[in-house]
Amino acid sequence: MSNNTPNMPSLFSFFRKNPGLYFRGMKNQLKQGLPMDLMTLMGDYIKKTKKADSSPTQLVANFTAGFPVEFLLAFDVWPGFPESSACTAGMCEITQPLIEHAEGMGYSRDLCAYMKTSVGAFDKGYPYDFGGSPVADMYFGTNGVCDTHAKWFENEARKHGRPYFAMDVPCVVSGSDEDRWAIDSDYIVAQLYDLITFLEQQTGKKFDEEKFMNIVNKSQECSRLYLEFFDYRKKIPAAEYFVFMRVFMYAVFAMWDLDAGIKYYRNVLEKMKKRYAKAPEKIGKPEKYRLMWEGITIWYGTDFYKELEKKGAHVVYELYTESSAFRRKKTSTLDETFRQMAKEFTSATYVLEQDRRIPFIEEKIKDYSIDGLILHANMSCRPSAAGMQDVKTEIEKRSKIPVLILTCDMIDPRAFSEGQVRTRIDAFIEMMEENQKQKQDQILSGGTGQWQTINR
Amino acid sequence: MKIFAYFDSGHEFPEEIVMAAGFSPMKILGNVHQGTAAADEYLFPFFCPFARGCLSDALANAGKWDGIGVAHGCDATDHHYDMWRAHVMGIPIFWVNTPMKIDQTAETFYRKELTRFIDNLNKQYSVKIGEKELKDAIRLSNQVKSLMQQLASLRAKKDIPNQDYFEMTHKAVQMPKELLVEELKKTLADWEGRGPFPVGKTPILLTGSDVTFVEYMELLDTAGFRVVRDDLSLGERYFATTIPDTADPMQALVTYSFDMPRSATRVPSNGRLEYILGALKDTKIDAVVSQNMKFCEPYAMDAVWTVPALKGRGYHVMHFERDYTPNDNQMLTRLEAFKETIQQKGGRHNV
Repeated sequence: MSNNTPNMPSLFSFFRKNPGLYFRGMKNQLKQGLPMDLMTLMGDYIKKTKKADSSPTQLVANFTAGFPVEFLLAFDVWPGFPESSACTAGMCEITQPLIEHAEGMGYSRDLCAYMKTSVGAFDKGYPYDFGGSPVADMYFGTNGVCDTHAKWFENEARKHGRPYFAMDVPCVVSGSDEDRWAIDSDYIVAQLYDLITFLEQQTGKKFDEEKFMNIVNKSQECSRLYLEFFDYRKKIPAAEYFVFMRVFMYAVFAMWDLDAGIKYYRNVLEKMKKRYAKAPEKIGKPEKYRLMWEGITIWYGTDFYKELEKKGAHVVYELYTESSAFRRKKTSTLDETFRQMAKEFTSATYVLEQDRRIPFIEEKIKDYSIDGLILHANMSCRPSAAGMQDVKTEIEKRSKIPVLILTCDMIDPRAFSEGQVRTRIDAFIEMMEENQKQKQDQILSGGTGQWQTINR
Repeated sequence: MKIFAYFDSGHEFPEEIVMAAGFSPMKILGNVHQGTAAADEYLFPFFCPFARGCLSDALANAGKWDGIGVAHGCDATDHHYDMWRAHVMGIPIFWVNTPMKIDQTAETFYRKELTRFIDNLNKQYSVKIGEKELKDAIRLSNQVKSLMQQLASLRAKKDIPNQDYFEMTHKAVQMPKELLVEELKKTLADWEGRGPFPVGKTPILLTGSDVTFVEYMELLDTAGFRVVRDDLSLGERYFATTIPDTADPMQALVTYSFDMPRSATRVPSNGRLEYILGALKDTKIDAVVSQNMKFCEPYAMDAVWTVPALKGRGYHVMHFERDYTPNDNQMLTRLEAFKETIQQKGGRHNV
C-alpha cells in the first residue's frame, strides 16, 4: 500500500550520489560510541520502516512524539516517526543544509528545526537513515507537546493528500484543580474513541480490544523496564549518560517492536545488575560533577557532551529522556487504560506546568545527587524553554546548586556558538567546584555539608 | 465600570461571559512603544514579542484591572500562563481552555469548559451569571459585531484610511461595549459621508499575524495600500459572524466559536484559506499582503501552504516577516516594490 514515496532512495543510491555526506554522517554516528546492540536496535527500526514503506500491502502512519502508538499497532499500521529520523540526521551532523533547504521552501527560520530537517530531507530525497521519511497512508499529530506537531502533520497530510487525525490535548496550567482535570480527561478519552473510529475507517478493520490491551500491557512493561534503568543512573557512577540515553529511549518512544524493546531493556538491566553487584572500585570512577539536563538534547553536540565529560561533568539525568516512557501504570480494562492514557498525556515530564515542574526537578536533584543543572533554552521548542528563568531562580534558591541556561537549538547548529558556550560552561564548572569546596569546608568544620549559595 | 482584561492570541476568549458577570472586557494588546523589557525578565527574547508585550502591559497595569483571563490560543498563551500567574500579582487570573478542533467531541468539551469558567467567576466575584445575563451580553455583543460589519464593508467603497479602521478594531476589543455602540454609530455616519475609494490606492486583503499597533497600518497606507479585507483577530475574525440567537446561550457561544473565521492556531485550518478566498472573491480584489511577526509560529506554519495556494489561484501575494517595531522603513521599500509589481502585472482594481 505504501510503495508511494516518490523520492526516498535506498541507502546505497544515496551513498553513490553523496559519498562525502554519507561518510561524514557515518563517522559522526560512530563517534558517539554507542554499543553495538543499541546501534542494531536503532538500525532495526530504520530497516523495518523502509520495508513497510516499500510493501504494497503494509499501511504506514507517520506520527508525532506523544501520540499513543499502541492504537496504530492494534490496527497493524506501521508507526513511522519522522522526528526520530530528523534526530538521526542530527547525530550525523548533516542538518544545516536540510534546514536551509526547508527555509528556501518557505519555512521560517523561527520554526522547529526537527520539522525543517524532515521537510528538507524529504524534498532532497534523503533516505530514512539521513532524515528522510516516507509518504504515509495517514498522519497523526498531537498538540500535547507543542502546536508545531499538530500543524506540521496537518501540513504534511495536506501536501500528500492523506487523511489526518489530530489529538487535541488540553494544556495543563499551574493551579489546575480536580474539576479541570475531570473535564480534560473526558475530552481526551472521547478523542481516543474518535481515534478508533478513524482507524476503523482508514484500515477497514474492526477494533480488537483484546489485541489492543495486549499491546498496551507490553508498552507498559517496556516503559517499566526503561524506567527501571533510571535507578542505575542514580548510582555513583551512573549507569549511562545523555549521549547513550537519547538513543536508548528509541524503543520505548517509537514502539515499533515492543517485544524487541522489552527483550533489549531486560538484557541491559541484567548487565546493570551484574555491574553494580561488583565491588565499588570495579564499577567505575565516580563523576566529579553530576549534571541534570532540562530540555531536548543537542543532537549535533556529541563533541560538546564529550567536552563536558573531559571536565568531569556528566549528564546523569534528563527530564526529556524520562518523559519518553509514556505508560506509567498497569491497567486492566479499556476504560481504565484510556483514563490512564489521558493522565499520561497531560503529565509528560517534558512539558510539565511550573507548579509540578519545579518540585519535580528539585526532587530529582536529590535523587540523582546532582551538582549542577543545565537548562537548554531551545530555540526550536518554545514550550520547553518557557519558564526556564523561573526554574533557574527557584532551583538556585531551593537546591542551592548552580543553574546554567544555554540558549541553543536541538538540531540547528547555527544556534550553537561554540566559543560562548565554552566560556559559559567553564564558569559553570567553576561554580560547581566552588560549591563542592564549600561543602567540604563545612563538613571539615563540623557542619552538615549543606550547600551554600555562592557569590557570583 | 470594572475591567476584565484578557490575553488572547486569536479571538478565543468568550467576552460575553465576563460581560454577563458585569465586567467590561478588554483585550490586552501590549504597547509597542514601551517595549518588552519587563516581561523579558521571565520570557526569552526568542518568544513572540507581542506576547511579551502583553505580559509587560499586565505587569504595569494589572492594578487598574479587576480580573485577567487567558484563553488557549497558541503555545505562547498556553506556556506563558504560568509566568502570568507567578508574576502578575494581586489579581485573579483565569485560564480558559478552548479546543483546537471543531468536531462534536470538542464541542462537548468546550461547553463544559465555559460552564466551568462561569462557575469560577460566580465564586470569585460573588455574582450569578444566568441565562438572562448571557442573552443580554450576546445581544450587546452582536450589536457591536453588526456595526463593525457595516463599517468594515465601507472600506472598499469609501476613503477610509487603514489607521481609521485599525482604530475601530482596537476600540471594539477595548472599550466598554455600551459606549462602543454609540461610538460605532457615529463613526458609521461619518464613514458613510466620506468620499469614494481614492484613485491610486490599491485595495488589499491583509492576513497573517495580528497587527496590534497603528504604525503598521499607516505604513501600508503610505505604500499605497488600503486594507479593504482581512482575516485578523483584531479585525474581521472578531465580527465576521454574529452569535446565533438561540434559546440556549451557552450553545450559542460554542457555535459562534466554531463558526467564526478560522485562526492559524486551529486544526484543521483549511477554513482559514476558504475565508480568505471568499473575501477576495466577494470584494473583487486580487492582492494579498501576508505578514508574519517574528516568532509567530502558527501563521508561519500556515503561510507555507496558504501563500502558494493563493499564488496558484493567480492572486498577487507578498509574504514577509516583520518585527515588533513601530518604525520599519525597510518594509516600506518592500511594500512599494510590491505595489509596482502589481501595477506592472496589471492588477484588476484601482491600480
